[in-house]
Amino acid sequence: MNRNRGARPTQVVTMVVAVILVAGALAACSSGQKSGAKSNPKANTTSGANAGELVGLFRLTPGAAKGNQITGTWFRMVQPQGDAQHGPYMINANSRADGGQVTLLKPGTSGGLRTEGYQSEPTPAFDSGGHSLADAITTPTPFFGVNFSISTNRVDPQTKPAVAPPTVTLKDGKLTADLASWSASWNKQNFNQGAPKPVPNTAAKAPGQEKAQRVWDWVAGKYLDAAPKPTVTGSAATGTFDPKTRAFVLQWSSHIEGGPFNGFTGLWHLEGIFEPGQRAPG
Amino acid sequence: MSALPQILGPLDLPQAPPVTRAAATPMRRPKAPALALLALGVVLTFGPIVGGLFAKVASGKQLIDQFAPHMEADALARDNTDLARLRRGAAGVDGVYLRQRLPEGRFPILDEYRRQASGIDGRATNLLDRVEAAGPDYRRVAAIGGFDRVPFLIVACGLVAIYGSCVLLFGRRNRARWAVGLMMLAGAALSMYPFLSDLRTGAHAGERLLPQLAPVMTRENVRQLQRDFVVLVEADGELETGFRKVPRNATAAAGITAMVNAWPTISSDLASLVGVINDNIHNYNELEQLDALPRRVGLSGLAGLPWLLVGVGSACAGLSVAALPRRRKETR
Repeated sequence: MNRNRGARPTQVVTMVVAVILVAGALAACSSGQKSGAKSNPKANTTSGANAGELVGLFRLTPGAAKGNQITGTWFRMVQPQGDAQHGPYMINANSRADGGQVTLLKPGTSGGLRTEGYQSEPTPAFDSGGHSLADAITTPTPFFGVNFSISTNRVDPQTKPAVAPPTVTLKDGKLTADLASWSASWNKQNFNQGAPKPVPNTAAKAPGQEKAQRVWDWVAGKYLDAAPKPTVTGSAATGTFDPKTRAFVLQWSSHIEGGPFNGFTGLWHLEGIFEPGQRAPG
Repeated sequence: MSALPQILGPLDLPQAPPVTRAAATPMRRPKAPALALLALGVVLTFGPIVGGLFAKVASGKQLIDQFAPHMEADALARDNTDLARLRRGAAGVDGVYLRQRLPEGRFPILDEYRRQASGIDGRATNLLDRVEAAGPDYRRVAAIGGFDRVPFLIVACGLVAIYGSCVLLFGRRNRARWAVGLMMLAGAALSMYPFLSDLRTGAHAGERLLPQLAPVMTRENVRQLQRDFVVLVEADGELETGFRKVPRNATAAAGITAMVNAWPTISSDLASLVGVINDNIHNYNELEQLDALPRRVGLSGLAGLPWLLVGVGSACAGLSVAALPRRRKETR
């Protein structure tokens, strides 16, 4: 009895310290999420967004055309053997912007792109007419008579590897984004349009080869000090960020590899306002 | 009673001659067939790995699997309907141009479409004809059971042959029969596989399928189909927008409307087929290399593959029997 009585104050103190530590850790985590940045070397109270990873919603500004001037969020498709600067571009009869050479995009139900999480395509991904049903990032938009849209997926629907969720990093006012999971869906087809590009995992495999490869990669990594194989290739999306207004611009080009539009290139331009917040649901 | 020994007298047995036993005939280990078996085992084990047989067979399987939805009767019927709609649409556009005397340059996208329409139709018809003609052979190839397991069977037979030949050359004699039995079983499995899996029929069909698909499975063909797609998709856009205002008669209107309304289906079918062709060019090339493998040993293409397996399996079984240790014949 005496021994128990003597032990109680120690236990209480230990519990209090543990609760304080846990509460402190949770508070630190939540404040990090609220500030929208994982690391916080240069706190910026005006914008709420700091140097480091920007976690939250990149709310998209709808695309608009005034004469030859295109603003907001848009997309172009370069034909094979063309180049990003001069085209030739596909002329989308459903768009009036730049004679159909530009397709204007509107934000979807989420308002735009969320980082550090996926905005996956629904199941089914298409209706019977081939129109894309993914509507979180952008509103499904007519492209040659059939609606196309965007999603970010844990496993890329076209190239098949597991890909990281979108991340955007701010450094010296410049944005660098890993958008490897950016996938366009149109007419019952999926096209990876990410930057950098995921390394495809679609080659034919003998029975058991995939498991054997996984075992070998583990052994090579653990005992042979082999560097893990790259999962993405090419350059990331880049852009600018205004810390005062939190206005951002992200742009990149992405070559289509495989499928019916092998060799075509998508040019993407996202504009909008960054809203620091929580990660996207998984 | 006491006189009895005297009557019989003393027993005097002659000295028995020594018993001689024939010396055991020494066992003979036939080295030549065992060494040949060892060599065969090494070739069967490492040949498929070094020669990339696993990848080639897997590529062939993937090609067959990915083409499956496009080889079904309803898919081919839908493709033919798409083509008929495109033809009617092109005729309708021509009709409107002639009736309204539309000058060149008023609808530049449709001008280009009119120039290319017959070429596009010819190429698409040719593509569909080839795919349809390849159907029966495709189905025979698809019916091969466990095609992607063939390399495993060969390697397994090779490993058994290596093990068995080592037992026959260096192991205890009492294990020899067991090892020979195992090798005969492996050889029999390899020899019987072509007959049990429809490989014989399928390989003949595969050899015919390759040249049938050869003009289709090229990068140039894919690029041409993509160019045709761009012309069609842009023409469809023009028909849905600027060209709508141009007056037309009922026949032309019906053709154009049918094409425009069906465009999502047409574009989906066409895109899907072009995608499968593009994504399987590498697989097709691998299958062509597989076809070339039996030719290296003097057999005819893929059709020779079953007989190659029968020959190798029989050789394995035959050599294992020949390598079984046996007694030497007595020499006089």
